[in-house]
Amino acid sequence: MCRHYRILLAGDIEEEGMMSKRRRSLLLLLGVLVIAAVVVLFQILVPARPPEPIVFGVGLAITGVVGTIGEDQRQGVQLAQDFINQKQPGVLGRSLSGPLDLRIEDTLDTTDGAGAVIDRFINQDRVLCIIGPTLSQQQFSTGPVANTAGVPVIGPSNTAAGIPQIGEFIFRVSAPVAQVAPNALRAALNLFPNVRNVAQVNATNDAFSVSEGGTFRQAIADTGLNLAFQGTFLTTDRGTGFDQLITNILNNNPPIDLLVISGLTNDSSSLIQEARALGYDGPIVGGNGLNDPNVARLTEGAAEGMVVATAYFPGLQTALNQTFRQRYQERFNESPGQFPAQAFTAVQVCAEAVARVEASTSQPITSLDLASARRAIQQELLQFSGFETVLGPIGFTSEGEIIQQNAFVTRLTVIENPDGTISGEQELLGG
Amino acid sequence: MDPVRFVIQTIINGVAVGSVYGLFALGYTLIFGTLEIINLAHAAVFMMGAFFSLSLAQGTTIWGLLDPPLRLPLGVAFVLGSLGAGLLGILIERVAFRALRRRPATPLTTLISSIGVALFLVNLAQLRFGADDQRFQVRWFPDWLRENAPQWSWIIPGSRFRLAQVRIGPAQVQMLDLIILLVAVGLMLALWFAINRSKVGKAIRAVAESPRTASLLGIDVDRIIMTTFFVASALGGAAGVLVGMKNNVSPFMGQVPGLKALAVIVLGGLGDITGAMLGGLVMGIAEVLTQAAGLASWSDAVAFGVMFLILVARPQGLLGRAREQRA
Repeated sequence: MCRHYRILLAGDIEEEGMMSKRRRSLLLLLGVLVIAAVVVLFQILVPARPPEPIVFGVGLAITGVVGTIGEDQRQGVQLAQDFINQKQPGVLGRSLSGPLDLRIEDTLDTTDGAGAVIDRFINQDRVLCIIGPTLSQQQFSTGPVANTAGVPVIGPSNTAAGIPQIGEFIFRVSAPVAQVAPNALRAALNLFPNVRNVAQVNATNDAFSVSEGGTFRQAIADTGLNLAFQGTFLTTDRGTGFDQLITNILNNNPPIDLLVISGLTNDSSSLIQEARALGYDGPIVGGNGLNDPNVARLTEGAAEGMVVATAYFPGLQTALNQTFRQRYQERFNESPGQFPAQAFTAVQVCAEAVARVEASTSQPITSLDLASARRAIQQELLQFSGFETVLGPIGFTSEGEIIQQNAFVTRLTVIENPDGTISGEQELLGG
Repeated sequence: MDPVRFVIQTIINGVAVGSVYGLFALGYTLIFGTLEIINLAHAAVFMMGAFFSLSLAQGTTIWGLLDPPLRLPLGVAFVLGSLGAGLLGILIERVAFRALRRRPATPLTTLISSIGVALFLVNLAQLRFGADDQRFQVRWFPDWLRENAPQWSWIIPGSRFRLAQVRIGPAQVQMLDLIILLVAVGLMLALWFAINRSKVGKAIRAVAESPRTASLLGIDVDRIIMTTFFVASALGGAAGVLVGMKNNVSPFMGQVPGLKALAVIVLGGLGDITGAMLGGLVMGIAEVLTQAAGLASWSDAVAFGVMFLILVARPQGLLGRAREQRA
């Protein structure tokens, strides 16, 4: 019994051994098949590595005293991103190797805020190029950092003198005040030929306003007018008003026939409102900060008739501008002003430079090492000439200064809407 | 230039600016005098008061609850906006200060707590109302302050975007400036009487002297502190509405006056109500005189320079009492 049992046991073991060998090879075969199937499925289902995104850093003063401008600019760059990523037929037609990824950050209205954001773009986000910051003052502080790091920067709204001169990587699409501002003064003289004595005021704690003030004074001298009053204010005066400045202007001898204002949008609007309230009835020429139809609402209509030179005119009859304006109106329910148009252009120009680099190297820009890619973009930007944008054809000088063929002067018309609110429209005086 | 006209106008401008600084500073000084804490959230309360009032004047649905929107006359909006700021003050006291006071925390802790509240409120306002400047529209003001001003020889009627003006001798001032001046001075006097002549005022003074003794005398200290916060914040809110009516309303409108009002209470003597009013006037007039001299960029420097000089001569401030040296 015991023996029999043992034999049986041995036979079982032998049989079991053969079975497990067969099962093992079967399992092995099955495993191989499963792996092969997974590999095949993977190749069918998952396409080759997705194209790497093309990353730009966009640093704008979305909050703070110039929040109005930063918000407008954000809308402009978002629209540009949509245009490029959706490959609008006929508009921004060239395609990029990957989706455009805009890192939009709020720099506040301070140089510290801008410094932190730009630093992050350069070292952490490792962007190909930077659009911003909003204020000239901020650019003077962050531009040198980006330039040393070799990152191309496009200033979307920096208009003070000396911006492209910060370094070879610093460009701007915003025509400098020296080019734009004198046009407004000439246009005002055509409208009001009897103007003799001019009061010129500007903020003194803002680089752009100081620069524009100097340009206006030069233009006043060049046109043979008399600079009868020169005044300054601080951007912080808005908290307590501009009564005394206006009192000084109204009491000036000889009496003032024309008021020329350089300052940020909100401050200048307050100033105009108070000037009208205290009894200044003469014409007003506004600087770039007042180049915004919103001024009609901010001044409650007091800025009616204000003459402003502008680098962008919404009515420009080109296919690109008409599409831009229509899409902007549809998406944001307002007409685009100069700031969104310039911000849109900054993204467009940068994307075009990337497309040109990719065309000349025949490979995605993301496959180049970062430093070479940034340098290649900078080199391409220098080649721009007569490039079609919503601002009209533009190019860059060897310093990175914009060459813009169109210059416009507008007059603000105030519209009282049926619901009692006030809005404004800029009417073209000459272009 | 007519020098008399210029001087009169300059003085009125200075007094108008100064009275608003004073009104603002009263809130600071009231809370400091009672609790010995600097409430840096006061600048944010100033701003919120302006926004409350603006919302009521332009019509608000209160997050879609009301239909049609609630639109109130400017005077009513001013009063309700100021009271709203007062209630906000009570809330701030409950949330940011009461727990710290019980612990008891160091003055630095309460200071930081108030900075936190200020940042929160400014950002909240930005989220709710946007960063854009907003205005009290001229058309919200009553008719008799605009085109239909009384036909008296010393009143120049206004227009669509201009309030009427008042002739004072050869000078012209905006009616609004005079109203701001009158309201600010009126509120200051009312506060002075309330603190020095009323029962609640007496209780506030008792708490300021020593909370513990006041409590032993049967004064509900928490309630008095709450009242102090309400009054201080309502005054701050009223200052906010007045500044907002004259200039613009924005989430950042409290920052500069906030800093100057701090200087004003130091100038006037910490915790001293009359000193805060006087300090405000000195500050406002110094600032405006600098602007009148055509040195507008220096106005802040001169205003703070005056403060510095006065403090060198009188370290306790214009009306402050010198601290007793205790053995």
